[in-house]
Amino acid sequence: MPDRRVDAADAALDVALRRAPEVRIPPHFVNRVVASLPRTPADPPTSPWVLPALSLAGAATLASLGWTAIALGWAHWFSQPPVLAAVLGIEAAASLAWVWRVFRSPR
Amino acid sequence: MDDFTELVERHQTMVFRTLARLTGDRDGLEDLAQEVFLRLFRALPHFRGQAQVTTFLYRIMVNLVNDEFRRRQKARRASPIEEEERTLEHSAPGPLELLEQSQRQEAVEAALLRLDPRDRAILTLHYQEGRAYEEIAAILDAPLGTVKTRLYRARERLKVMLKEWTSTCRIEG
Repeated sequence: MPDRRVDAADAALDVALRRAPEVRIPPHFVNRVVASLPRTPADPPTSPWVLPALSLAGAATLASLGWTAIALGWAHWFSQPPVLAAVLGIEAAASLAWVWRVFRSPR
Repeated sequence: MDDFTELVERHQTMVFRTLARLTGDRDGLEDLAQEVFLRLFRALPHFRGQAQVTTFLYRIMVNLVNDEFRRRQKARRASPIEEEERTLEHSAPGPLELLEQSQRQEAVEAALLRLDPRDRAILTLHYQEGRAYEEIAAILDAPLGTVKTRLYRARERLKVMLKEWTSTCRIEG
């Protein structure tokens, strides 16, 4: 007998869980949604190769600038600690600005 | 835009009924449902058809309701009228009163609201929406085993809650 009571309670719980709550959809809901949509279309998704390609391009530019500096005989000048620190500082700031622009700018 | 309008028309009932059960609320549904479709619209360019639109919509709803609950909790903690809100909450019919009126359905709704939002979502998606375990796992981004375990435990907790309330009713009655 107790088993039958448990079964009945289980079945009643099943029924209650399966029964969806009654809801009333406002008559102009679809119009309201459509009116709230942004006018400008959303940006297309960024291709997955864009970020690595831009990073590679940046690295190549830096390498060519370094190579040019060595070719012009400026290597000893760059090896001075204040100049090296200044150049590295500018590069770090530019990289951070670029990363911020890519990841934080509104899309 | 016509395609999106059709999409809203096709899924609006499902969105309203799922939100109703996840929030246990009937008043703020329109705003929440509007936000769901707005998020869907924004996400559509990123939607590559790996999943069905319904799966995507369920995921948006679960995340939105979780955000909403977190926001309400934070507001309740920060609000100086916390006591007033508590009074309002208690003025709503509790599970005990509802059972006394033999309204099992409403008692289950009330018990559902006492569960963890994630467990409530799993129960709703499985029982009300008839979604397979695999789809629920995809919606919640959770392992299949976790979904099955949580579903079983959540159901057991519901049963315990309802049993306790029933016995309290008998004692008080």
